[in-house]
Amino acid sequence: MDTKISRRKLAKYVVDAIGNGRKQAAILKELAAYLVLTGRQREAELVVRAIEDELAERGTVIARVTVAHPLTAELTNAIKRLVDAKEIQINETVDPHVIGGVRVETPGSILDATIQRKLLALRQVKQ
Amino acid sequence: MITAFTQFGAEEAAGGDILSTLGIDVKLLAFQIVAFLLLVVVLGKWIFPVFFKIIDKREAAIEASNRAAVEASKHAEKAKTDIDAMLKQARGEAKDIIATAKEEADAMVADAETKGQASAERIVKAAQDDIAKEVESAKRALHNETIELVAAATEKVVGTTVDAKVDANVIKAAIEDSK
Repeated sequence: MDTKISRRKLAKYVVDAIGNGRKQAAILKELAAYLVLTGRQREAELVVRAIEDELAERGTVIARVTVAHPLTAELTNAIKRLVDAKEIQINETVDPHVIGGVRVETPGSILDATIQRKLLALRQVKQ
Repeated sequence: MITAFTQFGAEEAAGGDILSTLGIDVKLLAFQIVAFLLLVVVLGKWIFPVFFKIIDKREAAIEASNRAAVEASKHAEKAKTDIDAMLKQARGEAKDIIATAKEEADAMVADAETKGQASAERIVKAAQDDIAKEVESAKRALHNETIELVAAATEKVVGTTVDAKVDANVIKAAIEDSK
């Protein structure tokens, strides 16, 4: 285990494994075990991002959507149309703190149209 | 008087000596002459020299006093002249000193006025700057507090009024805007 495998290679491995039909839970367990074994637990979030980037390159976009109220089917479709990708997977998070609106985060872009963000922008006008 | 002339004329007519006729005793006259001469000699030899000596001495003293007085007068005159000159010089110097002192005082007053003016201007400017800063700071604080109040109020109002339906409309509008 002297050679450190890059996050990008790990992401490729995971995406390939998913593409080969392996169970996602097993793949994620394997990845987690590797990170713990190599003492790279802190990179977990970055590895996930790398996996998302790799999936996006292969046409599968994982969109993290944060809203104050659960998305309706209509809104989900609208968001999918907005992202414009071959295959879209939406990870929805309901957070009442955003008050209203939506935050859509995809690899390479962020759309933050929440009321919380607008209020924050208003507060940042302070001198 | 008429009687005396009458007697003299009678005696002359009697043919007597003239001196006798005049009532002069020759012997007595001679004695008187000798006595007078003796007196003159005595006076000239013992008495007059003493007087002359005293008089000479007094005269010398008076002359010395006169000379001293003249000398003193000259000295006094010279001293007066010197004093006048010194007084004149002193007055001139005093005048110069007063003029110089007045000039220096004027310069000091002018300098103090200039410094005071500059200091006052500095103080006024600093005060104005401070006031301007305070005003600016107060404006900024008011601005910030207003924004904070608006944000807080908006958060409260919107938090309670935005339901799922309104939120759906907000999301649709946001998606439309981002296209």
